[in-house]
Amino acid sequence: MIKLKDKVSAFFVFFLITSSQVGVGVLGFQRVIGQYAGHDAWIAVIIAGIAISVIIWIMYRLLSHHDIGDIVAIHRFTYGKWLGAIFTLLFTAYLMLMTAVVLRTYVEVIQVWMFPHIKIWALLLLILPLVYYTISSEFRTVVGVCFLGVVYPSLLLLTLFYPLKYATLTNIMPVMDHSVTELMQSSSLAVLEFIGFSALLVFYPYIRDAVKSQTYAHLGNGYSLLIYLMVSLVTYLYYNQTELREVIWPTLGLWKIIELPFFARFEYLGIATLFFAILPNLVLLVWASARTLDRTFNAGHKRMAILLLVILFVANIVLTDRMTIGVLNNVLGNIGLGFLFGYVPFLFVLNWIRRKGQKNGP
Amino acid sequence: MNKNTEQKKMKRDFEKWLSALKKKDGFIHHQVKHHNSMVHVGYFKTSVDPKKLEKYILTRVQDYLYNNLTELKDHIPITKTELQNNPDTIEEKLVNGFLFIHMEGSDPAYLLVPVPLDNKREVSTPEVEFSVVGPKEAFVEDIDTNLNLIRKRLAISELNIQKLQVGTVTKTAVAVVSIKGIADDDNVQTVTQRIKDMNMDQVVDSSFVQQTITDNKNSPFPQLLDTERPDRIASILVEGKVAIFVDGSPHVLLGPTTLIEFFSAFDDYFYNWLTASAFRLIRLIAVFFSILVTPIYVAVLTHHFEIIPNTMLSTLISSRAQVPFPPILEALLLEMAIELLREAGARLPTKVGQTIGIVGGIVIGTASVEAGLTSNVLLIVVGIAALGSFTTPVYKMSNTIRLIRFPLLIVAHVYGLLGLAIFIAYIMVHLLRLTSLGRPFMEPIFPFRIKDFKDALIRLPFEKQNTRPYEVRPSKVMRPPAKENDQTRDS
Amino acid sequence: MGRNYAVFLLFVMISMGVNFNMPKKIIDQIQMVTVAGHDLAENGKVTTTVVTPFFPAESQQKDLRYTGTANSIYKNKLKLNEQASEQLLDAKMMMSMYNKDLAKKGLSNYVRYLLRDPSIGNALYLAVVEDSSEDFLNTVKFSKGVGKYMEDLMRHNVKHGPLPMSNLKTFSSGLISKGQDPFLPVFGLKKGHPRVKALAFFDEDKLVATIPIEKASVFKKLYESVEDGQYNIAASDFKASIQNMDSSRHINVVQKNGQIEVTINVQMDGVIREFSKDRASRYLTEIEKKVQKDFRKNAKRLIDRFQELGVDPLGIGERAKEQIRDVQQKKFKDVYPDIPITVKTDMVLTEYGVRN
Repeated sequence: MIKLKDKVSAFFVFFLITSSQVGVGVLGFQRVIGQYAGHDAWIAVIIAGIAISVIIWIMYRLLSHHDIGDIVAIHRFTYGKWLGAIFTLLFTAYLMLMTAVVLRTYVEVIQVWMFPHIKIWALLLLILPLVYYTISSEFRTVVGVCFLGVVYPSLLLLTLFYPLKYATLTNIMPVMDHSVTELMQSSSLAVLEFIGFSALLVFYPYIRDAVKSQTYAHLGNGYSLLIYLMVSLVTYLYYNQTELREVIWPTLGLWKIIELPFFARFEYLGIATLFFAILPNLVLLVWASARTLDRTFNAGHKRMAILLLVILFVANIVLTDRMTIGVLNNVLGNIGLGFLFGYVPFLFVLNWIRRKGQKNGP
Repeated sequence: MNKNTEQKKMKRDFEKWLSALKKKDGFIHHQVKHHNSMVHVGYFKTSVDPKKLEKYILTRVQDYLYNNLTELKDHIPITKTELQNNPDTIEEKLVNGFLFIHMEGSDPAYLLVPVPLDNKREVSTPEVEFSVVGPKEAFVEDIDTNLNLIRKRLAISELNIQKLQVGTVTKTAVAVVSIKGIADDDNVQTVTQRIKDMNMDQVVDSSFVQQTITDNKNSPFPQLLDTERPDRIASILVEGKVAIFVDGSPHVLLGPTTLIEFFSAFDDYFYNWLTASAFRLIRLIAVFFSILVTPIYVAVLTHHFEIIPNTMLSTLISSRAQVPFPPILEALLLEMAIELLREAGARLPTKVGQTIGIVGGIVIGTASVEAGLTSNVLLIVVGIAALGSFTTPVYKMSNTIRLIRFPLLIVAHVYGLLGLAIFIAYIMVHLLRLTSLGRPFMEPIFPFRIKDFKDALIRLPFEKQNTRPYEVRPSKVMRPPAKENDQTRDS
Repeated sequence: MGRNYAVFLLFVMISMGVNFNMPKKIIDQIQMVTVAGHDLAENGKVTTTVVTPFFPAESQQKDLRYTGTANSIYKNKLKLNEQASEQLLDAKMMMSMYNKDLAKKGLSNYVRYLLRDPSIGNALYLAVVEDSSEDFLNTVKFSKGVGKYMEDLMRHNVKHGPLPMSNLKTFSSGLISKGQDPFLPVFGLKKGHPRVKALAFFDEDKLVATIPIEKASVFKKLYESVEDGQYNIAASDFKASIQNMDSSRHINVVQKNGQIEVTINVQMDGVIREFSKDRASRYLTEIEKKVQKDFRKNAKRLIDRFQELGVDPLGIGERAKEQIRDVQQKKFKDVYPDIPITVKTDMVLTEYGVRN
């Protein structure tokens, strides 16, 4: 049982959800989600956000029925000890895949925009100890990083005003020019940006008044939705669709135009500042992975954290070119989609049946 | 007859003991014949007050009538005198400012009178935390004077003073002060327990205590506030915190504290809240500026020349046109120069120190630019950064701020702005992990408590300060309404 | 605990040590290209001239010029690096110029070269040079450097003068977009001094026509909303100049019976600056009318020319896409020359200075 002292108040769920959702995706999701819905893809962002809210609701229903309501307990209850452990392992692998993709994509941005000659493994030796330093402490520290990882990079939203000087309204007109199918296809791609919140299934028991925190979870999701909506709207106003198809990181392109009396070319500062939004992603996901492993095998949180960081380190060195990273992003998107909209509702139903069975049985 | 031999033996013992004492430096011995018996007075010259000695002891010993020391004792208007027969423990007391009177044939044979030399520093104006307006008293080295300064301000029965002793050799007196009913018992308990657990042979200053009982000893950040202002201590005690007085130290420790508190000068409470908030914000900006500006200079000039706007470009490059070093060396050179100036200024007497500051600042600065060792833009940058770090009201914190600039500079040289971001994230996580007496150090930023922001980045008017900071978990959260408060003060 | 710190320190040391020798771009150990000029040479090769400042002493600046010819831009850059004392970097380029011949052959490759490089900003100015950019860059001398001079020249002409907003961003979106064609200013020399001469219009990426700069202020008001413009008119009985001109324009595209019709509404207000008769206040309505008539006449002439050439710098194609749902952009291009485009104006003179 988790001590009351180690729990955080429900209010922080807002930051946990937002910080896990907003990360490196902000830099380049606009082109990806525009593949089907074109300039209407910002509507797809809204659809995806609302769909995620539904999943959050399902997760809360699922979690609130258990004493230590986390995915390990639910799996154990639903599938039994061994099968449950296997499913938990798969879940951990999913979280770790997400971490690896986030980290590798960010490192790629650094490689392309800032330091083409950087030795990645050496840079990782600077970043990964920071992750360990955070998660080897109490959960409170992880939450703190998430909190500051939402507050501080929020300043970056101000930079979205400058490119509006070049906004052309015709670029997003006419609204709803695409079919519903196209919008749904784009939405399914947009879901990838939100999937980080899966960690909710792990940190839920660490929340004081967890059941009541649902409002904050939805608000956090709403805030992420707002961020993605603002970024995509500004992008679609700034670029026309033919242009956007050629740009890999449209957000960085938006920053490229900024020229102020005391500094020009915001993207360099932007990439550096974005580290504060990436860090919560890494920290929360690795923490959640280590905790699920620790809960399943009783192997010690810190030891598992070290193991996972080593895996992360190796994975990031093995992945080298952009093509693989792109493929991995797609794979992760599909897995995330399957997990959230397939597995979570399935688990919910199965869990419900099992509970009913237990209640009515002996 | 029997009595006589005993007296002779005693006399021999005494003379033997006395002659041993006489060999010690500064020992003074008077002999007076009173009636039939000899009266001896002995003391160490350096530890007794000569005025008291003259007025209360010597005259009375000579002129008054008494038959034995017990009668003499009643004539001497000094309390805590002691009568005893055995001379063995006397020497230790002599060192502490006692004198002994020995009368032959008296029983008990020794009278010990405390006439210690009172060489305390007078209460003077604060030097480290000077303020233009407001009280001008600062703590001194003597713990009783210091406690008295607090008692004067908090003349209430709830003031809880717990005296302890630390240091196996120095036996320093330590007082843990809090207000009953306001301060959290847990905090008081933690402090007393940690002080009791201290295992040191010497404690000569409060910083010894500070470094020993602090939560994380491997942190460059001080986790207990120290101040020399009694008004600040009084005010913070009312907020529900715990103060630690150490004998021999003019600095009093406070806990639990927060990062923000280190950047609030006590002056802030003497000005109108708008002015105070503005100054506090300026101070915070100055701190960020002073940490970041030189590393950013290095990062930008080494890696990211793209972000320099076109209008500033030629100014920056041309100022570096003659400089043979990369920006990092140039910056380290100047930062080192500033640190040296500060060190030199701190080691020298005030007047010479000022001269050194001016000479160093102007001469070295101008000369190094003219010699082409540094660029004048960097000179301005480093100068402002140094100024910014000196605005921090707590000296120990301003040292920390200057210290963390050096690793930042190096990481900026290697990884540019990214390196800065990573290193700042390290500091951020470190600060998040830090606690002060078990309470989070980053409060109210994290855990985020909007109520405690009333006295953090800005200071709201006193009417709005109606709750005590939650971070110290005070027993009474609400500050009492103004009227009630007045009544309790009057009674 | 101690072991953790040791491992951590070791990691940091390795990390810093390994990347310590990562190539750096120390501000005074690189040569920043401030202006680059590209000219068409024989056999489809390109001659590139770059200007880069160097600083002999504090607050002194001189320009160095390098020229080379090769068949690709990057190859040329390598060639120029052979001459330069330090590495030439493009990131702080303020203007990139192309001569007319090159522009006629198409600028697509050159613009994409700039777009692909993450270090080049989007606010970079592009321009066409009348004859040879090499001559142009070799002739222009300025104590602050050619780059700064050209940037300032361009900026104030965009802000207060007749030039419409144009930089890498606007040019490339015009180039890549299907419903709009780009344009660029043309610079030329007059007695060794650079000046804005004309506005060049592109069909996709090829220069097809220019209009003299005097006519550009009409184009500017048709192309975008102007905050600080001017207008000069020489009518039969008076001459007048209008300053502080605010204008806003709206393009309406409607489809009636399969026929697309375009209306451009321009609303202007301004202040009289110069008037060849006395008492300008009495003639306000007359001036307003005459200016509008003159503007409509010039606008019509300009639009007719665009339609003749089949270029669409006003972005009517984009508007059509916005306002008529099922417009096929390819098809629009075919019908574009025959679409009736009318210009409607509305003008108010708000002030006439401090004398009436």
